[in-house]
Amino acid sequence: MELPSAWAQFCNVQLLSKREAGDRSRMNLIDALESLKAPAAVNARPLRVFLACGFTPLHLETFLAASLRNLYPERRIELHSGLFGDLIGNLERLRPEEHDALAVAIEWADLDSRLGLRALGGWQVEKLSDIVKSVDQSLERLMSALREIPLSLPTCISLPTLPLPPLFYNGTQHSSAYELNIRRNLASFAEKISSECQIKVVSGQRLDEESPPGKRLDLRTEITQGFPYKTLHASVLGDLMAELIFRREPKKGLITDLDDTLWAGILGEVGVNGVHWHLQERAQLHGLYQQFLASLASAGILIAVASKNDATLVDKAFERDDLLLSRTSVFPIEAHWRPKSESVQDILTKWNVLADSVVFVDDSQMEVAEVQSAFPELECLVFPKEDYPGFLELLSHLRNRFAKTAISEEDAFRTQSIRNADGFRESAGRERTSLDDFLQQAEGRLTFHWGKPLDDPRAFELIHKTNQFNLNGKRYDDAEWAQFLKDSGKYLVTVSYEDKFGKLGRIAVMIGRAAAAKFVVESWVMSCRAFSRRIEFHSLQYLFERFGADELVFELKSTSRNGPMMEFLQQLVGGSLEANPQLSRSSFLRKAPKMPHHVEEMSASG
Amino acid sequence: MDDRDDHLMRCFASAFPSATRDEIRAAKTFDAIPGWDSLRMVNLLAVLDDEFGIQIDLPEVLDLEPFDAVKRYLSERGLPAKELNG
Repeated sequence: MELPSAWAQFCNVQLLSKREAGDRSRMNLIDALESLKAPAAVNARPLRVFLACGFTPLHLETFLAASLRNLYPERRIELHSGLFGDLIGNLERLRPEEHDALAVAIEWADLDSRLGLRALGGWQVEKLSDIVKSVDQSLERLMSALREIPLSLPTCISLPTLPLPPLFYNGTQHSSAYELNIRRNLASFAEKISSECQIKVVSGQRLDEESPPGKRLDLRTEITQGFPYKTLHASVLGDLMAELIFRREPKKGLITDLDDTLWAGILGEVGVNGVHWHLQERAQLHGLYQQFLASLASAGILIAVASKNDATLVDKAFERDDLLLSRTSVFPIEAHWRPKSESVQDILTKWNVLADSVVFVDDSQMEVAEVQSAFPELECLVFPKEDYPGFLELLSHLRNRFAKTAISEEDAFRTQSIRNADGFRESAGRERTSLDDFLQQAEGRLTFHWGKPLDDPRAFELIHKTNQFNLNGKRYDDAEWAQFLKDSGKYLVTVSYEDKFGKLGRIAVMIGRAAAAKFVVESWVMSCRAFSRRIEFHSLQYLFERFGADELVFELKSTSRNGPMMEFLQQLVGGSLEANPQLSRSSFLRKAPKMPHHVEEMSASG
Repeated sequence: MDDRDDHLMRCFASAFPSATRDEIRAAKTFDAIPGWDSLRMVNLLAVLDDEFGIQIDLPEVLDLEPFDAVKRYLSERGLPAKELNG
């Protein structure tokens, strides 16, 4: 059933348009300048970004600063740049400790000035081999400079974005061996800095989509001002670089419909073998969608089903061995005839995540509107079953919503872990034994990982995605996290758990500092999957013992979501929870229940 | 001030953030606009190009009263503005 567009709009149904697919609308120079005109708050912390480029940074600097301003409204953006015409030297002279992030914009002239349009070094045939060689040498020098940049300084880089000048004798329609050689070396360089130096490389494909390659160069301003970009290109590039510096919190889960979404056809009408997702059945979009969801699941994204359907038929359909999304990658499956919003509520409860971390996809605008009205924070999208360009835009949009910079060990078994947690809760509710006995029989093993591994993103990820059992909602940007990792006065403990129901992986993080006989807890988060196991009590006991503390001080702050943490501390500390409540060791031991798990400690690097 | 004037004034104000609209209108030369420097001048030219699609030939307007000179310059070229209302 189609909804009138006004109603769909009223219900905030999101129908992806081409403009939304890129997740942006371009900022004009006037908008960028105006946004930078507004003063930052008096006490705003600076965000110091070094823009390394060989050209005059001019409008790229303006757009980068304006985009960062939009992404970090609470920070005072400070952009610095180096000497004109010396990109590599600027990187070699960089003092990383003076900056919070680094953005590098390479252009051809930085690799050999003869590839730019401001130098007259000659394009004779006999010089072409030397240009190729010189580019290779510059890339090596650039690589050496980038290897000196500490991993703790968030860095993004854009490879040359402008067209090569017409210097090769083959003609512009024919890629010369020289050009191919240069591009191969550049690609090899990019692969190395991405994998070895963990530098984020601006996507050339995305740049091409938003800034047509043939319309990027402004030869007039290149020659008169040393700035080679048209403003559209500077705007797009500045925005993409800002996004790479800024770490967006990915969504956690996707809830999908089945009929005419995960597959083509209505299961209840055509039966298990009548639904399709293959090319020969003209249902390829559904096959691609399944393949995409399987990819998300393998990256640790939760996938669930909300379908108005017969549950038995759905079970049978999921037994088909040609389904690209395996049954084990999906949890839970809510198949019944009640409203979809009820299914969504059940799924959110089982996942124990909030609606704003989840995306809902359904081919019916009616269903989407019903769910959206019940969960305004949920991102609800219509599956464009007959719209080929719209379908590809949906996939790109979803990929960006669930984007991760790295895949952790926990990602591999997140769905299974949630399933285990659900089994644990069900068993705990079913068993007639006391919780003490039940936990004892669960054979839980807790490991406290002690230390600050530089190359492990899990602690950072947990702090950023956990809302409910969260001491104060404090988030760190990349630069703050890097600073924390370097601070020897602050401690990081991550906690992993497994029991006979399965492995939960690393599910909690504690950050704090010792102060005489006290230990101040600055951040403390625990995944909702780990609730009801008394892991929180074990964690406090660990802190008391590890630091020999007589008292724990909690930098507690109430947020709109951290009710479970507030309740937990209320139970231990008692009275009204004022700023920085304290808990003595004796009081803790008096109030803590029996702690049933086997505990061990490991170095985080081991 | 009509829409066209307002749009043009927005361009000037974005490039010269420390100058008031009255100061921009009253300035007899570009370098008399408070906060003028060569970088801001470059910003103004780029904003005018971005907003109106016209590249100003600087020598033609440099010694004239900036706001009126640019307004006249744009009018003489038919103001091929992308959006007159800014």
